[in-house]
Amino acid sequence: MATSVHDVPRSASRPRGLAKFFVWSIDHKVIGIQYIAVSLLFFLVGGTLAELIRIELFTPTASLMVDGGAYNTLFTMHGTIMIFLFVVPILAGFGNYLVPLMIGARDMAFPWLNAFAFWMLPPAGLLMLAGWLVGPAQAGWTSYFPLSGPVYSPFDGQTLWAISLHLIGASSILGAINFIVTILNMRTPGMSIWQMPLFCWATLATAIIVLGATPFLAGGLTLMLFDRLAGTSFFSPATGGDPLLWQNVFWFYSHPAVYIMVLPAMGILSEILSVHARKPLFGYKFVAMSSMAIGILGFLVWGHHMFTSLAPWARIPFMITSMAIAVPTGVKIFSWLGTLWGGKIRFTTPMLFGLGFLSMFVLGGITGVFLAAVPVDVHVHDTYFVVAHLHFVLFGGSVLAIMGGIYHWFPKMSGRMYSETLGKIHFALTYVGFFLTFFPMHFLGLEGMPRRIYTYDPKFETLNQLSTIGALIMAVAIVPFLINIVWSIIAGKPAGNNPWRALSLEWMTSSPPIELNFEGTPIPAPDPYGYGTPEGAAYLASEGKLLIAPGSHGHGETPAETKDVSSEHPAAGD
Amino acid sequence: MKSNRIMPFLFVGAVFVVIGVLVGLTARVFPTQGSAEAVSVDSLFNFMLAIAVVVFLIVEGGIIYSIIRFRRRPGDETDGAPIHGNTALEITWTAIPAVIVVVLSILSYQVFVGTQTATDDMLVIKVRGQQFQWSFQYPMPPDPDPAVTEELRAKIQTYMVNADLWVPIGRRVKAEITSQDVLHAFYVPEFRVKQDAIPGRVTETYFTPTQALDAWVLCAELCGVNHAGMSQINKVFVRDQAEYDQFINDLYAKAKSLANDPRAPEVGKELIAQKYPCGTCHVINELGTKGNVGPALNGIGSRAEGHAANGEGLFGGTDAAAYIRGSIVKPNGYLVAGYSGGLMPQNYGDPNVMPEDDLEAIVNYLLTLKDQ
Repeated sequence: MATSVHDVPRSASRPRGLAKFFVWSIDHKVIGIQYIAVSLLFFLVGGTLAELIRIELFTPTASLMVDGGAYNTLFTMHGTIMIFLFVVPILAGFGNYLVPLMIGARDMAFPWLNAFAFWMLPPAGLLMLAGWLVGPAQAGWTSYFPLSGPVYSPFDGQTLWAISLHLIGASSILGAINFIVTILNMRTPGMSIWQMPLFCWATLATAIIVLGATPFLAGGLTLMLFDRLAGTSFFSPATGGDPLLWQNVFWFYSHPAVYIMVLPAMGILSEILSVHARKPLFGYKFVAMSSMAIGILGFLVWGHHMFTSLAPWARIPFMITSMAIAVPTGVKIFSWLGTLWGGKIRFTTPMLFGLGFLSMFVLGGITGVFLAAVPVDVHVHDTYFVVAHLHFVLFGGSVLAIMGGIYHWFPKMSGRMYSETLGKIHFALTYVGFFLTFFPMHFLGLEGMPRRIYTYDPKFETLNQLSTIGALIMAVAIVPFLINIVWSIIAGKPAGNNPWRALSLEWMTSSPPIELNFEGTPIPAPDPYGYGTPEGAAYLASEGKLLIAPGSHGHGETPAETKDVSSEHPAAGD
Repeated sequence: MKSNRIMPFLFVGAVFVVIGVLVGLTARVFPTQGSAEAVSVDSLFNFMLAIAVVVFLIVEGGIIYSIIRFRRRPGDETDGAPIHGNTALEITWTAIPAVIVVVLSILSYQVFVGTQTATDDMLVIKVRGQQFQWSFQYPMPPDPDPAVTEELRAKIQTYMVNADLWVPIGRRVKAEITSQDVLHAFYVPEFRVKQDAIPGRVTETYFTPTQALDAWVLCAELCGVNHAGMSQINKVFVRDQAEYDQFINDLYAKAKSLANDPRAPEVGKELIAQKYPCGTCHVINELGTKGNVGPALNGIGSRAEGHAANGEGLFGGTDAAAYIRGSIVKPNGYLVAGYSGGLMPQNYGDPNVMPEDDLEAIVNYLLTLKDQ
């Protein structure tokens, strides 16, 4: 059943060229790019909102906003859009595009379901934006009760917010099922689970988290909608409900959601660092297992978002579990350092973004330990320290990896090379702008500036102005990025199959890959990170000759002339 | 010579540790240490900071070293060394962070328990959060006056409310916190305390002020349209015991006089100034309030008379008082042109939120506001 894509009829009259991205398609590569493109559009929307936030905060008094409600809408929509309509779906897009290629499959396990999951996203995004037509959500992306309840948020935008997230959550769950089945069942013959690229491990861990956590978001949202529309009272204390119930349910999803946003980005980073440092990934099994450890521990830490509302005794166990997450995170960071060590580092644009991730994410990881310590968190909770922390994790981590990933796989997806010069300008401006925007926020938070305020104590003005200047630099950084993408799609140099001389299977087919991905059944490299090994060099040299003849896909048969390649070399990490 | 290769790294590591210790000993990134808790929290933070600096320097140093030392030289098309891992190293960098977080957990636990300790002679202050202002209710001083009955004392207690937080130096304070509407978070950065105010619950936090101080009570939890304003309205005054006693005695004297005639306009004026957050959304020149969320209340007495004459917005009543009263308890019932519903608290009709005496006093005060 798992390989039945082979039999799915693919009619001859499908649109070609750009048009195919605007219609229903069950090709995972089209769907992947659809995810990525829609997410990037929302990245621009969310980014614009962020710029408006920073412009408002340039001075301590109200400047841009008519009132606090307008400002509350800005950060509510910024957070929601960046998380649910940019980072989560764009990583799903990378997963869609890359996982079947990386494991040598012809498509995802359930191609129709895959398309369906994607097509839930555009209506969800439109519903979210439609909030502005009816009075948008203003209760923050966390939408704590009672503020998000019918009495204090009477506008319909809050209802649309919940419905939109419901759709996105459902899309996410369907995608997760697809990833798990695909990764576990559809690896090409000869690829053991310990030979999968780490991006696949990260996607597998992420999909497991999604499957465990996202139903709680759906449950919470359902109760929220009942409270708002049907007069129930699950979360409103005035009528017997409990606002902390919402916090518990919400964070039981939303903390694991952090790993939904970070683990695939870490997977991207593992690919980039190894390929562009020309060196095997250091400690493959430790890195793969640390994804799983983070995924499991991630379910046990949600209370640290509630250190100022949870009963004092209940804060301690969450402190311990939250601190424990630093251990597998540290394993990853040191393993990436070990990957660089002794390599032949090429400073391509994806590598620069990868190094940017490594150097900035570590700060987000470190501040996470501070936030796990209850007495410290009590002081900095809901201050700009948290804003700094989360952006070092989600921008310094996820977004930099996403940008690196876009450049790394752009040649594969488009068949053309991007401009290194524009790419490097994009990186330099982003890196400097990012640091200038978010580093000063640590000090604002430690000094006691609360988040989510549009007027503030004048003593915070200088650091806020630095931060705003940084944000404007990041806005400028987007320009070379967009020019690069558009220009390179039209006029970039042909990339060839494997411009990075990488070993993983997505590079063992044409760029962009043909329909159903491979001419035959691909044989994976004995080690997807075997750079510097004779086996790796032999595998690269024999590119194209290691494919089984068409028609034998999925039967587990390996012709004699290629069998030796897969059997005589040890698996990765051994 | 393996030791010759490791020595430079050990040396650099030692330098990183020295830098970390120096940063931990000297960093002053917090506001004034206004409480005993601030001292212990800051020490914990600086201890963590020292470790964080070392970890940060190791990682960033490793990246920078690799970028320089292991950069591809022009013309070099070869790969890096095929090193797949080093189990001893991997176990080391799993175990050391594990030990660090265990130590940090234990230290944090000790500090946290210290901040949560109750004592017998604590000063208990009731903190009430409302959109968009805090108010603080203080315990009464003893009163030898035989005319003050238990019943009267209970009444006086309801007026022992001030919009500012006054606390004496050196006395442990227990704040009992609740909210009338949405979530708020009681936050005084100088004390390093923060605790959510949750409607329907009373939460607690403790602190011991250690020096004279003027600061702000902030709201750290998003609470609606004027959340930002809630951090710039209530002050903290830490004073020595004598000054604090003076404040309490003055507050008591005032409360006692208010209790004599609980529905007088002066009572209403005092309640708006100290207890209810009207001024955070409405301009009242006489009280110097600047809120711009709802319509200004200057001249509301005259306007209410106009409404009474026209027979509009009276909520079933007949006079100016009915207009004002109705607008308070059913704010969506009659909307002034240009303002949308749902902005004002909807629960002032609940006597647990606003007792009948307070409501009458406020209506009577607003009726006196005749000039624009």
